Amino acid sequence: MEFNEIRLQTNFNDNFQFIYTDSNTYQYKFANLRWQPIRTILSFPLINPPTFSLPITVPNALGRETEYQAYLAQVQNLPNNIHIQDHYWDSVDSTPANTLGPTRVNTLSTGSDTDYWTPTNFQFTSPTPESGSTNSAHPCACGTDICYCDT
Amino acid sequence: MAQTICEEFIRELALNLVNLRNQIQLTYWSEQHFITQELLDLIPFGEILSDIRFYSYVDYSLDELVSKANSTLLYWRLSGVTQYDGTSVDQLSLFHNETFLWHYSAPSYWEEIRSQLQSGHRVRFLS
Repeated sequence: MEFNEIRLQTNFNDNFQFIYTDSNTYQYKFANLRWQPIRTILSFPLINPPTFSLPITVPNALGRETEYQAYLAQVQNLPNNIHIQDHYWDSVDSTPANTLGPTRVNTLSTGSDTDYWTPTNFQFTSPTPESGSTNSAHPCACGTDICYCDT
Repeated sequence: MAQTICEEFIRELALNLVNLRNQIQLTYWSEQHFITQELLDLIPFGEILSDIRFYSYVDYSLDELVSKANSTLLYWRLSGVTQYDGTSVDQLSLFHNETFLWHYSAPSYWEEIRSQLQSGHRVRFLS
């Protein structure tokens, strides 16, 4: 699975335009008689990245505009959490690991309320020095650029 | 007996198939255009993914995605789906639909996306 990231680029009027860059890639490779996850991360500045692609400027809906609008309505009905980034993890309870699946591999903390489940060990690749510690007063499971903390 | 179980399995999966030709949020280049609904439901093409949504997805959905992809592959094999050259289908590459993403989905969140980027948050999409 390949993900791209939306970025901003300043133009000559000092306005912003949207561009996009490469981002994370996730693959499963069958090796040593098991499926092994492989993650690739490409990171660029959020504003004015040196390498980027431009979105298409002319839509090509092939006469299916009604279907596009219908699917857009579906997408817009999904929970929109784009605007609730800051302090989000302060405002919700973490999900106990034992409710999420049988293959929990991460046990950063000992209490059931502060365990996190993931199919891979990704969170160990970028722990923050303090919040990633199991001895921390507020244990966190850290991803690439955010940490899920139990506060 | 094994034949009956196999036929029953194919019948059951066939009831749960979706035709990718009707899915405007994605594109593909293949004559084979059926996957299971459960697999399609796990592929967020056309969605704008905040950090929270993105990490929820990669932390909790990838194993299930592999499982559902295996079910689709099993259906292709058991039902004898073949490619143009007569060989069995064993993979299908899906891509986001640029028209839907850039002219329908993303524009409805432009202000939020801009605000999030200027606040240092990442905004992703499945490509």
